[in-house]
Amino acid sequence: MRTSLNEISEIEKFLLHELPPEKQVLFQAKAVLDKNLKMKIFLQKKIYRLLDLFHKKQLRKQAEEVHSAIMNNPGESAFRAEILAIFKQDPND
Amino acid sequence: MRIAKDVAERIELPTAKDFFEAIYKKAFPKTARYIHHSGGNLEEAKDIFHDALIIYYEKLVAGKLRLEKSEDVYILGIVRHLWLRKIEKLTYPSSDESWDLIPVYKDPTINELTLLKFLETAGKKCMQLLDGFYYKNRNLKNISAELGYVNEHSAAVQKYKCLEKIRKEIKQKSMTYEDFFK
Repeated sequence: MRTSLNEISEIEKFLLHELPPEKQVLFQAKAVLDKNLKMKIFLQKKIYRLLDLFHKKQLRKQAEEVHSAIMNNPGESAFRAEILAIFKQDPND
Repeated sequence: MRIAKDVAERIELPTAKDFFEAIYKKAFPKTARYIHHSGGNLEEAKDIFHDALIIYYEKLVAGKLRLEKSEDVYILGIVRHLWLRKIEKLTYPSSDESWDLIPVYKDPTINELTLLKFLETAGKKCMQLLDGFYYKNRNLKNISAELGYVNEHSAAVQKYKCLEKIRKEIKQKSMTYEDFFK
């Protein structure tokens, strides 16, 4: 792998605490001294955060699809009626 | 960040959609009753239920569940917690340890939403590839087979190339360093 990709791999290990303890400390010290590396770490952390948001959005979409499929399926009319009936009751009952 | 990692090598997990389908009819009526009795409507019940399903599924994939209760009871526990959190606008510390296992969801900032929207189009292929690596319980062997890479090393190289590409795209959005902290 080329050097820049190796660096990305190392940053990933650092962020996931997968480096041996002594290398973890060393890498952190290196980042304090190297502004460019610090920025790369920051951006990579941001990418993981965005991936987390991306993943949750995909899961939410799938949950919505399952909800729609069940609530609109004629074969599930009894289930749909059960849910709608819940919200027609007096909440204090 | 939750990473499936080696879970795939240990157990076969259902896909999110299969899992949601399997649990929906069993657990949603309980959620609907609880939310209705707490003053919520159907839409709120659905949203909270989906949040709970996502939390539960992510824990399942990450191998972080120690199930002492049935799935629907556990999910209802998450629903109650999320509802209280929504109503009271604060995190409830509780003696019940299952509460402590529920992550506080950090809402995305406007900048994050903008970046996400951009990456969903400009970096879609890479986002999907990385999603598979980190969240969909696929190991390098499975990914290289699925995407037609020669070997696991090629798949790993592609993963780092994608991280590099996305990093470049974020930079090209000309966002300043300070923007990220807003």
